[in-house]
Amino acid sequence: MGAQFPTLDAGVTFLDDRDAPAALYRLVGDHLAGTEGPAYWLDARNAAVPGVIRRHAVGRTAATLRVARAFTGYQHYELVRGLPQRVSPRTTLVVAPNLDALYAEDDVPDQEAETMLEATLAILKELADAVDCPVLVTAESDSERVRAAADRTLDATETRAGLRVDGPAFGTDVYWGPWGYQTTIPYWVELLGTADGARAAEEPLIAETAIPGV
Amino acid sequence: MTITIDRRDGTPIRWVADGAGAEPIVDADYQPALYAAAREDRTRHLEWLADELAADPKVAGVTAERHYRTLAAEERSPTLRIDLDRLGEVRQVAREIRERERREHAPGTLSLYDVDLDPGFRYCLDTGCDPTPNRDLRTLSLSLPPAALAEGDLSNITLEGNRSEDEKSVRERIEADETVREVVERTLAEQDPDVLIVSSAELVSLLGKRGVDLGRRPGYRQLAGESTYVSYGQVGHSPARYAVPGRAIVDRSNSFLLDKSSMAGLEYFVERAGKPLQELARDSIGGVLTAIEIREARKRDVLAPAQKRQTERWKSLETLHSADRGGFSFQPETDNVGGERSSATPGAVHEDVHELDFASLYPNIIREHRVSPETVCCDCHDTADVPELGYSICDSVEGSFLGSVLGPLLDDRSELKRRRRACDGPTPELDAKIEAIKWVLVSCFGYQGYRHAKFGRIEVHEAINAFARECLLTAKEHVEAAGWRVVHGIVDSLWVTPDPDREQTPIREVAGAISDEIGITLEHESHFDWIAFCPRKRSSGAALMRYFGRWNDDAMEDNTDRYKLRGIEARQRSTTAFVERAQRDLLTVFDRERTPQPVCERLARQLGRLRSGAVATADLAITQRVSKHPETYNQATRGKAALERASELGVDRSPGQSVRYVIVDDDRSGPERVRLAFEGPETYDADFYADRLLRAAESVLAPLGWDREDIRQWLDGTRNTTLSSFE
Ligand SMILES: [Zn+2]
Repeated sequence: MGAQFPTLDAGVTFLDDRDAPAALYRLVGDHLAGTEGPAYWLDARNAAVPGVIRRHAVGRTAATLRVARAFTGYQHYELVRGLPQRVSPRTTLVVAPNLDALYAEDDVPDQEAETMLEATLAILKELADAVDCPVLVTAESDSERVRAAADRTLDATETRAGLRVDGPAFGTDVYWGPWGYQTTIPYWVELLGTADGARAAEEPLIAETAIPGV
Repeated sequence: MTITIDRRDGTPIRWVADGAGAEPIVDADYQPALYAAAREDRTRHLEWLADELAADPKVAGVTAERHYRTLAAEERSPTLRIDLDRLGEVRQVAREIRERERREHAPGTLSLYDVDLDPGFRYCLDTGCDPTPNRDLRTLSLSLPPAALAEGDLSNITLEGNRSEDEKSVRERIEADETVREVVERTLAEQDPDVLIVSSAELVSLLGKRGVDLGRRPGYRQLAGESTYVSYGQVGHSPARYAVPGRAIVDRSNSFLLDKSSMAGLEYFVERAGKPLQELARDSIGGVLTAIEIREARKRDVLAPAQKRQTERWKSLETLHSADRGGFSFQPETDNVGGERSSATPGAVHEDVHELDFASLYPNIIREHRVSPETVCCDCHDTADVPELGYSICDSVEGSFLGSVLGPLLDDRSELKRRRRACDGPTPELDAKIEAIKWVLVSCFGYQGYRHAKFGRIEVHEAINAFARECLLTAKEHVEAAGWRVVHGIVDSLWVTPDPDREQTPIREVAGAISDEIGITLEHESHFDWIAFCPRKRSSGAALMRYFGRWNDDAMEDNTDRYKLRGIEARQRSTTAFVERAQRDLLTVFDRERTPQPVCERLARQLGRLRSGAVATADLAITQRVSKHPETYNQATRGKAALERASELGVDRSPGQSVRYVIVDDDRSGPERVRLAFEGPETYDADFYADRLLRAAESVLAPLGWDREDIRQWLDGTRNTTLSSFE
């Protein structure tokens, strides 16, 4: 089974799993089996089914996984914004299935949805680069948009021989942000605030416009 | 003191009862307000917003104020209070603020509060105006059948006031040469109603166009056009809404509470929610709960968020798995009469069964255990208070938010029930209130998990569920220790039978002891001579509980029916009158014989009558709620055919409304497949209805271990003899 499964490299990987919904769980399970350290699953549309995840992540490998589910676009966006305070260089994986799904719902006005999805993609990309960690995403409807924003794409198909996942033979294309890891995390915390709404300084150290699209 | 709160040019007008009539009081000074707060409470964003709004003519002024942003917040946050000139422009101003924010800031920089409150409710919250009337409301019902409404034919209108003494029918009056307009106007003048209960809100515009003024002043206002929406995954139809001066409009076709109870139930919640009748009447149950919650939040100086941004806490897979388990469910694996062949969980028949129910289990758990958005998983405690999940429940404050919301409903309901027990004779008002409260209480748990619930929180939903499972497990242990065997259990109910090998503590005594220990009353609900549980099919997921049983004589005094039915066809809305009667008939045979063959014999006779064409088509009409427009159906369903037929006949139905039809030829597609009930068809598709009848028979026979195939074989084997006896 190992051969047809690419390893997940640092950066944002878009998994096109429309033809093979099991691929997400297989990739996550394989990746967790080979790593130690915390992993985060930012869920949408109830993709995080404990039984299914465990089936593909044998033994104790799923014990490092933490899940939070979003049920609205606003919650999804807040969870994404909260990620920078959670992840660290020890983080082995961030998974965000159906990344675009909740922004497409009626309760979020179109223009606002557009801005939030854009910001979500930008934050995940910066985050992946800053802590050198793979971020695996799938999309529900606007897959072209998510694909274009990702560093690479994996295509999953169900074949007679089983599940097959293809991707470009990517080397590591991780680049470090202008601040490097040590300064980046405090920067993000400062910029985005902590997830639980605790007080931060009245003024951020760097103006918000420093990051395009956020 | 208030009948309705109207508005003219953005100014609220309170109509108050005054002697026999009602008087308008114009409140020209009133200014509605919304609030903004910034991420991380950064006041510079609020200052920016204040500058942006300075030139907006809709904004009367802005003020820096401090309020709590969430129920759990320990400190008040800086907010910008934005006062507006006109009532009814809050949503518009909120949209514009969002747009300004989008252009200059990251999304979510600002959070808005107190945005989507109905205008009359907002006025009452802000001013302390009491929306309850200080006299018995005078009501007038105006009804027009749907077909007449579609054609704009008012001659079939019926008027019925609660002050009517000698009412001549409208028809009689029209025949006496009065026009519809004269009849309606004269009735309005004679009765001077405070509330107009209309069969459809469209009546207001229809009468308005004919020059009839339904209000206490000329004119009417359209509040909203008709629309289709999705809620809880269900498509709903929201009809147009209207207001008239000085009278509250209640749209009977669009009022959940009125449908489930009566005006008394509505008036109860007007008082509890502090929301004017006209607005409350069209609220869903979620809307009623939201109103009560917003009012309670106001008391705590907590603002009502426009968007829910609070997120789920990060959880391990173990916690997620435990949290995601549904309610309690118990079925013994053994002790059935066969029937494993086709179903995941076998059905079974049990003798001498007592049903024990926890009364209002979920709301009582919420109150007893103080499960509430601000107490669950608090930041200050590390205690494992919630079973299985290990969540903490904060005990550093008295009471809880949800307890304050639901407690009065629980207490009122007990008190009303106590008063009802003390009454001889019918008690329609008490019944209506008790019923209305029940609907709100049964919804409070689901509402906590509803993603748009303003103060809902997923961990609260999970904690309630975990406590509920614990309650049922504790109860099960106790009844078993007292010599009883649990034959079935689900969510908040247990069915128990005496263990033949042991002595029993009387069941009411056991229930009393369990109530004392858990702190929630376990009621002895019923006693059955026998009860039959239908198998639950695995394919249907969280399968509906289906059973039927015969009340024991000691339980008969409250029941006119000999049998209790749950979930089976005779209880389903979509079942035709013919199938319902046939199933009840099969039940009596089941009761008498308790073996499959005699039930099948009766079924064969019913099938024979059906196939001979002797069943009246009125008994075969299917009522179906329309879920979408006919052109958007992918498949040629019967519902689609009915809609197409309705369309051909000029009586278009919108999603959320219902349509009644008879299947005349199920092999065809399109409008020829059906006839609408009002067409009075003379033929029907016997094969189609035979299939429905077979399904109903299957439910009756499944607890005995017979499935569809067994029934078919029996029918095939005896067809000739049975049918010949009818020819
Ligand atoms: Zn605490």
